[in-house]
Amino acid sequence: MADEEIRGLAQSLLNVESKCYGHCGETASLEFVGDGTVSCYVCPGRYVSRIITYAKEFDPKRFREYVRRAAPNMGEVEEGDIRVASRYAWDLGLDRKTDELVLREAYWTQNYRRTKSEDPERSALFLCSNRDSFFVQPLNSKEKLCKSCRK
Amino acid sequence: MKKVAEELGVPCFLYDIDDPEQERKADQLVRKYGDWSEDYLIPQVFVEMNDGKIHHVLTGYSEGVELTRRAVANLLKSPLFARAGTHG
Repeated sequence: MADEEIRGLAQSLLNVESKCYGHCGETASLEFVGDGTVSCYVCPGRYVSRIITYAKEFDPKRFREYVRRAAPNMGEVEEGDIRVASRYAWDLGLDRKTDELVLREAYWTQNYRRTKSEDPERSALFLCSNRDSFFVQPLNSKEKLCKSCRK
Repeated sequence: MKKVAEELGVPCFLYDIDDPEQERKADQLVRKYGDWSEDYLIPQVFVEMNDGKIHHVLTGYSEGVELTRRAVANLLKSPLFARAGTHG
């Protein structure tokens, strides 16, 4: 299945509003990043509560590396921080002749991090309002733009 | 799931991962057949077929409870459980 089809399915079937856990409690919406095989739940304050990747098959280590690069200086991204899920035609409600595996998802949830502290100024991951770039700033910061977009 | 199992006349085993003994069994199932990760998602549903083969059929949605609820409803309406009649 092409990435485009997977993206389409993710957008139509896995796109729900969620609560912004660990930050403001407001509504977090799904936003696709880059080529669309990665998305994240972002609140109006641009805090990233969850990063998700979709693929027919993926390497969790590669996704872990992606998260590690997206969230530098926020502590180690452990194997246990990445959780996976298989989505089949039957649970997605798709009318397909074969009960095939449709896609797999891998999740990284910012609030599940083992190194989580209660410090309101702890480093947290945000998604820039202007572009597909992540940036790290104190959790209680109101800034919505990454460094290069602030210039 | 319990209701469908009853209608199908098959046993239904629910493993509570807060119970260490049940957690051990759940871990084995998920590690061998399911979506395993150290802190794996729940619920995960498995079906044992007549030939003894075990199939993973559902994992809960981290996106939210509503999606998980919808997925369970879809699963119960799917041909996989067709023998159990109609479920809303």
